[in-house]
Amino acid sequence: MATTTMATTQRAARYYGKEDIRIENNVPITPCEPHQVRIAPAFVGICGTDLHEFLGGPNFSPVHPHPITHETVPITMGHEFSGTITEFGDAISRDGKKGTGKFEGLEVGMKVAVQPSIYCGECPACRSGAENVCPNGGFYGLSGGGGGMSESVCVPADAVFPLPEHVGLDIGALVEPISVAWHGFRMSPLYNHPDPSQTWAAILGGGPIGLAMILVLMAHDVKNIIVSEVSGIRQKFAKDFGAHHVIDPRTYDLVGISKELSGGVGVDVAFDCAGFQSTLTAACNSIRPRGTVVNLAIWERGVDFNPNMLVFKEGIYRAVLGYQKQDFQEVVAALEDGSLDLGRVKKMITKVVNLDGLVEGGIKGLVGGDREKMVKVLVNVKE
Amino acid sequence: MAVDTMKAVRFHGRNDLRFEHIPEPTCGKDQIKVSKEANLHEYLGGPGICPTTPHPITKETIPLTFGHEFSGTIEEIGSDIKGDFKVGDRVAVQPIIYDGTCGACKEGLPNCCYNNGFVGLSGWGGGLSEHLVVPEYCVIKIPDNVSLEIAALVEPLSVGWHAVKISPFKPNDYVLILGGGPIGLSVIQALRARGSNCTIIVSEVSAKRKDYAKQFGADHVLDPTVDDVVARCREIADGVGVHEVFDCAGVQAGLDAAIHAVRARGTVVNIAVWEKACSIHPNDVMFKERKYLGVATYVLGDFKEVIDAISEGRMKPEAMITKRIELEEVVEEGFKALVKDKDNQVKILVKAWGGN
Ligand SMILES: [Zn+2]
Ligand SMILES: [Zn+2]
Ligand SMILES: [Zn+2]
Repeated sequence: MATTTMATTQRAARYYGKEDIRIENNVPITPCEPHQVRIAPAFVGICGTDLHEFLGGPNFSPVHPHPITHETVPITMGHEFSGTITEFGDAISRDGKKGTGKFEGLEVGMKVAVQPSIYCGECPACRSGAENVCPNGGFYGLSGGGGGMSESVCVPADAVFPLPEHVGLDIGALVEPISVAWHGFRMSPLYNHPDPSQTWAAILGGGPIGLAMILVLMAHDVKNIIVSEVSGIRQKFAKDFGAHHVIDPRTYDLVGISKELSGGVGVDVAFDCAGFQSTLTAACNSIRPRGTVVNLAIWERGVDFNPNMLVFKEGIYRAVLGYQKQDFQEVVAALEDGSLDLGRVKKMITKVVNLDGLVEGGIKGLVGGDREKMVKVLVNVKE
Repeated sequence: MAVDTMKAVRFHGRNDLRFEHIPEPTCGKDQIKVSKEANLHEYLGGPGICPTTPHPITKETIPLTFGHEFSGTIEEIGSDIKGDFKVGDRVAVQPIIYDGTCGACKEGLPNCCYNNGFVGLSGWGGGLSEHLVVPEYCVIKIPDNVSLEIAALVEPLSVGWHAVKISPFKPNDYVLILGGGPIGLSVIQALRARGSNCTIIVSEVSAKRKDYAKQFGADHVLDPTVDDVVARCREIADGVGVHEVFDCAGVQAGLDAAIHAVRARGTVVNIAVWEKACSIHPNDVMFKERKYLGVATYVLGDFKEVIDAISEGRMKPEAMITKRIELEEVVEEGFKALVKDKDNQVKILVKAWGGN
């Protein structure tokens, strides 16, 4: 749909390479493709991946043209974001159906959360419904295609999720990280469990994903949550978020405690949200016979692994990556019906900076001495 | 009453098996006494599993009578046994020992019992003797059309059967099996016996074992020293890799191949018991949302299903028996053959008792 004349450039945070992020004013505004909607981003979360890229990248950001976006660095940052719909494409869906000028369920002016996934739609993974592991895949804000740390970004219409009336745009930026935990949960045997209230779950690591996992477990009525975390500040967060047992693995043995608390068998599922040798081993040893370890952490290097840990109890180790549309839909629905506790979700936001404060106040705060006090730092793009 | 003695092969320690005369066991009220036909299992590496301190259930330590893959004939029945057994019944012996009280047992998983053990490894006698007594649950009758020789193969076949059963395997899947030894062959047979049209790829070095793998139903046999197993699996399996890998080898190189040979959301099923820890890169599992599943031996019920499959002709394991020896020959002939002639042997059958 043609629109009135607009500016052709915008202000955005651009990632160039290691320790090189620039706030620029002359970043081109891209046209809205037929299957896309244009979003004016509101809030953007800074994520661990952003930190890694800043400290030691480019790892994820493309230095050779990305197979789908064809872009290389510099790229516009921000993949955890909310915003407002400002323009429709021709409302032609991804499968090429004729445009109607309108996307069902969407209106200009709506506040939405954005699923930043990029995938090819053609490879075996995509065709088998696992587009989150598309080998050509990527993310808006990391792989090109624009990102949330800008004034204007176009994304597919089926990647935006209208937020309920009572859910603010700041919370909207948390839908992405919560969806990571939600997906890990959905891939575990606790999802669709006949009686989650009787199950036991351990979470290893009380960082943003571990804390989000507490909220997701509570949203599913899991009433026995053990969190293992070294940092005292994060232990406190874990308690505030609703974990039933919080232990310091340097003092207490998670394996012994899991077994003892769960009536001598071990936990049903252990979620490794930390990704260390010690957490992998503890996770494998704390599950019950035929229990499951779900890995959500990204690893820096290989680890020692003794398959016998799983053999003698017929345990499962599975690793999950990212999220899918269903996860976003379910997270937004859970925010709407209150099963995800809004008050606690809001506690994930520990700091808000503006675009100019991205590096000094945002990223450096997340790697400096105050790091443990931070769960999610949001960038308020409009400020 | 004078105690009768019997012949037995006992494990005294690493690489120390002895042919001996030991007291013949008497049958308790709740036990069944069996005389047997046994199978030599490759356990020369010095089974970490044989207790050097008293086993929590059997209370026994080495020396222990060896042999946990065996069949036999009932020769005596304890007075408290309620089941439908009579002297002369031919049986396969399911050698698991479990406490029945721990968390795993309460979940119905005696194979994962925190105190588990095996007849023939942890006490209660073993298959490499003339007689032994076991609890009723260990004894499973075999139909007339299944020989005692074949019944001695039920244990290793149950390992493969159980692994296939608890894996996410579906009938048209592409499957890679690492290792063409007895367990690898039992996985092939379990896959075929379940009436499947799956495509079976086996990775194995030894020429003889490659032949066996083909004979039992492998569609493709790869040699990891020559072939790029990962690339070949992708090529064969829709260009994306197999649905399941069954690791029956338990070595680092195999695991590395397994993880990369499996498609997105596929599963690596580990059957091997590992001698030492290996290393993995969890990201390799993560970027395709792969799964790694450990499986342990078998549960009650698997033996019966295997026996049925053999009786109904869905499984024809005869060719797994590559050598037959007498009990007296076990130490010299049997284990030597398994060590020195490993590539040519699958299962060596030991006649522990004349009756058949
Ligand atoms: Zn992120
Ligand atoms: Zn794809
Ligand atoms: Zn037990």
